[in-house]
Amino acid sequence: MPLFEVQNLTRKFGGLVAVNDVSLSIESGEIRGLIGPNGAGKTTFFNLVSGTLAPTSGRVRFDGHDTTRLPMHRLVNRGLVRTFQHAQLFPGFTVLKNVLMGLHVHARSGFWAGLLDTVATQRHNKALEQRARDIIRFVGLAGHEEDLAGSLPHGYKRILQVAIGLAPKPRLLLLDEPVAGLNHADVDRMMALVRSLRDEQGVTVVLVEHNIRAVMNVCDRISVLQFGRKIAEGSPRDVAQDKTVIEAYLGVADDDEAA
Amino acid sequence: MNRFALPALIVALMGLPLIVHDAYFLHVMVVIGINVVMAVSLWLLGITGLISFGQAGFMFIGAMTTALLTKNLHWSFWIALPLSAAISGLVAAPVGRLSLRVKGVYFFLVTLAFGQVVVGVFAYFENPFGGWYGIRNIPPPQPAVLFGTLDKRAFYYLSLGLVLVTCWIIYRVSRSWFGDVLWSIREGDVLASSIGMDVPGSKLIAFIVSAFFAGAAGSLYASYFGYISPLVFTFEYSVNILVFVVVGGFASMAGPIVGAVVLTTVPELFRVTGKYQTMAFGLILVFSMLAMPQGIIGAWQRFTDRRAGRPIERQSEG
Repeated sequence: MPLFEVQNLTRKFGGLVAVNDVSLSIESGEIRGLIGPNGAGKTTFFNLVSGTLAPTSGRVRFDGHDTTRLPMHRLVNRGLVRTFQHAQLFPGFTVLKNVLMGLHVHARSGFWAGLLDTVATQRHNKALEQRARDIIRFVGLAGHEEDLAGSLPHGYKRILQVAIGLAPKPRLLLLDEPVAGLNHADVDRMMALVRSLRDEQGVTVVLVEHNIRAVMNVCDRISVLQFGRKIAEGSPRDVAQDKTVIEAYLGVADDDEAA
Repeated sequence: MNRFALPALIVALMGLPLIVHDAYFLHVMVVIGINVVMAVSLWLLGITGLISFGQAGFMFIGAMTTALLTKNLHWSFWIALPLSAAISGLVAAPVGRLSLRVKGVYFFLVTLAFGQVVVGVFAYFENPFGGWYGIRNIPPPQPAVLFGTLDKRAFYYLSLGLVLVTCWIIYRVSRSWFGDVLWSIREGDVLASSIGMDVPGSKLIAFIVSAFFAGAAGSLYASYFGYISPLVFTFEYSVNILVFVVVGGFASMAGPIVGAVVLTTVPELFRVTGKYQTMAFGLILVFSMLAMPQGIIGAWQRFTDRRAGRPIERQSEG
């Protein structure tokens, strides 16, 4: 049974069909790439499956359960976490605190727990700090624990984002353009991290990406969207040679607009 | 801060009426206490990134509950106080549900409207709310020997007690994981919900707790002044509370406390100037905002950081 299954997902914004009847299924342990030209509906697709946006029709199943209209914070409890295109972090918190907050679902975080603040609660939440440090070391940000997240260089910010997403111990991590705006060295570092997420942490990864080189290197399979429809799917090699994909990216002689 | 500073301050505040007997001074201290509770309650909402202009509305609900219970039903103030706070919190639940659906300036408008609705409702129904005339002769707390006289000391201790309890609870909450959730929502609500935080639920709890303490402050107000009317719990008062928090600074709970103390005291100092009192208040406000955009506490932190040679940072820890 696939870990993650999307059936006939559609989202309309007025007359525009941003995601049109998309189905895909992802096996546990896979690294899946989701590519497509600008405006293909990749981010909308992410918003639909992560509970940020309600689909017009279609179903999303995660780990055998229907999760179609669950809000984002409930999906985290089930093991599905997403990151965002623009570096979303808590800029006024330290790196350590950012990752620590990522462990929220494991913390005793209620209002009454905070008010009573028993020794057990303190010990429980204090123990999470060690896990946060482990995660920081795993992603390679050791030594930056006390830096303010907002003052990190861009490449580190993107890595910190992944670290925050990794903190809740997801089984499926949706990464929205993790290497956007990064230089070559940072791209390589991020891709190595994505691979180690799967290999060492057992996390299944779906990434939306514009950087074709990165996607081709790291993904097991790639799905291609154009104008909200899935136009191709397969191994990186197959997709790279697919005629419709080449047309979608480069355009054909009489249809420059599609490029 | 030195760890003996806070206990020393509390002991000093407790011993103060033994030395100073001046009724006017104690009166100002009681009013400061009420304003501190209001400011701290608003601050809890502020660390969530929400700015409410309806805080006086919740205070009015608490004050009205105490007035009706103690005057019409002859209940003890000591039962009316927690009940007033609870009812204010209870009203906050549906109000928060509705108003927290919108963000930013729209939330500000909805809470403003809420404050006006409370005033409108209490002003419209003369029975039992007293209409625009309000309610007078609200009985003081028991025993009457302590509270029913012109001696303000009992009320001073009552006010101080309410301040300490409020500050202790809100401080604990703000330093807990739940408090960190509120800070996180302020830093980035989309990210907060993506890591499993219940953003609407946490905001609602902050809103209810904030209203709870505003209700308690209202209860104390009603029994201290013995008179409440829609002309007291106005939009202007809501703005004043917000000004306490902004001038004091959001970064830590000391901000709203210092803000409320300073901005309640300063107009009193200028009372002798008569009609220029409000003008002096306004000038101080403008000056402090220009000179200390992070509030008094923010400026103080910058000052101590610079002396300690630490780099100047924004607020980081909760």
